[in-house]
Amino acid sequence: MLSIERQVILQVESLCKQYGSVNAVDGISFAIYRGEVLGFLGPNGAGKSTTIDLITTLQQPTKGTITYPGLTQTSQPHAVRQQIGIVPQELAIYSNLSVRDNLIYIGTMYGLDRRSLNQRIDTLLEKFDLKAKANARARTLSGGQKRRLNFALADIHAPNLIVLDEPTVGLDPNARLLVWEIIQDFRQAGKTVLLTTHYMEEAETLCDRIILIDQGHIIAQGTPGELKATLSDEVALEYQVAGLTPPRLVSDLKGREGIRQVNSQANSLRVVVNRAELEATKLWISGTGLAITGMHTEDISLEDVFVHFTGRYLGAETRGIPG
Amino acid sequence: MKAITIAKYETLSDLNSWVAIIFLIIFPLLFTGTIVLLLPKGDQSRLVFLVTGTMSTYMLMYAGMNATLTLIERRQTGVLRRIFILPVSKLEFLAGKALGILLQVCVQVALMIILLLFFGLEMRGSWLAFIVVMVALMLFAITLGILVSTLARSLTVALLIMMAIINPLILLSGTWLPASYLQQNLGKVIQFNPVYQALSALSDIAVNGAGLGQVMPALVVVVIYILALGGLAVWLYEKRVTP
Repeated sequence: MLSIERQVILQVESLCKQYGSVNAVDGISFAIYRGEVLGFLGPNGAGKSTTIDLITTLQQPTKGTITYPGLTQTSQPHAVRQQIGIVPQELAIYSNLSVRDNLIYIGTMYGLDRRSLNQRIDTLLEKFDLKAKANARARTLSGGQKRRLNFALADIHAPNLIVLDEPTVGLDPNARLLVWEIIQDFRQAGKTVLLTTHYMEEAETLCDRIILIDQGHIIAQGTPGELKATLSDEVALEYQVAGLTPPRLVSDLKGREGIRQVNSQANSLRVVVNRAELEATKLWISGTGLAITGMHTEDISLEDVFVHFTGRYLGAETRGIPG
Repeated sequence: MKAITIAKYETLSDLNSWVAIIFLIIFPLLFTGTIVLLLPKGDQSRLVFLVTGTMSTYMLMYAGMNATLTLIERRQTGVLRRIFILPVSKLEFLAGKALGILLQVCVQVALMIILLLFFGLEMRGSWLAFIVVMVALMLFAITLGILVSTLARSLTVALLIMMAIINPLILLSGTWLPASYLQQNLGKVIQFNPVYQALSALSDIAVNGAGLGQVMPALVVVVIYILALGGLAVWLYEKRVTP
């Protein structure tokens, strides 16, 4: 939930990162407010991971500033790191150490004294349902338990900001659902979370605000509702079709009045159309002889918004619906 | 203090299997015992040199491979990424890592010395000098391993690079082929081989009764390599290695 006072815990101004002639991040500015889940949504190579590397001090920006309250990323990297907990894409755990030793090791690095560290570990073992496995080697844990340990390590020093770097990439639906539950728990506990993802539904379900990023630029930002409101006059028609829609029909459709987007996939055709032209478009499509097996109208999705701003689709795999 | 914690948990992680413990403890004992029992007992100092020479080369491999392979494994599993955003400098982490491996090797050196004493073999020179040179040699191997971990992205490539570097260093160390057997030009080149310098120093200590002062020139060469390789490795971790 958005805090009423909206206390800024991270301010990014005109951030740039160049690799040779490539601008991985190109002049982005945004703020993260206490207690919100902020989504960084964009395709692979959009600049999400580079931004995270810059925020977490793993890399230095070419230009621009990253400011935490009273701290700057470049001059006080260790103090900044104390503010952040990261959950990398991989299961970044010591598999030969016990669950407790993993937590002790990382917690000690954050300078926690033994007593408060033990208290914190007990709390986290309880919270992440790992109490019974506290002394088991991490490699003997189930996939879900390893993932929970991965999150617990990021939360060991109760950071102001938890950064989740594509935490559900490559996961099966059950594992993805588990991660969603953990993020929702963070949210309910009032933690501030920066989540990078290229899954539309993930961002829409979990995030209070979303930043759409593409080719190193921020193309839009706002709540999911605000982003969708940029296409408030449009509606999506979703057809189930037998096979692929003929290219000629797609081309004709794109040329019609009120048509904003046409996305043809195997067995499906999605058309974003101005509401005023909805009935005429439905009528026209039904008269084309297309082998339609089903049809329904949908509200505008975040992917439609992304396409609206970039003219490109993120791809079907980015819908990422668990279960 | 953080370096000590790093050394502790990195070592615990590395040794948390029976295979690792067997390699750490049983192998040096078996290796040293076999050499002592197989070789003729005539010249005890020469025997001490052979044991220390062959054991040092084994430990050189162990220390170097351990450093490079575990660091690459940490990178592949994403652990390095997590470590590098902890409020710990990369130098501190690498120092802790090196300390942990050095402690493992020290256990092996201690076992070797105990076995030498058990068999009644005499050390003519200073034990202190012997240990200092041995530690320097192991630090050289560890810094080399850390440096290779910045160059290789996979365990296989790291293994190949390490083999390509360590094997010639060992071959030209004077243990397997005495320097006097080599062609004249090569004989001069091996003066720049830190493993040759270290093993020559160990030989001087064990066979000729040399002290720390007498082996200091060789020790300086090894220390220069440690500082150069270590400095380069830390610099590359700071500048080039994207975890």
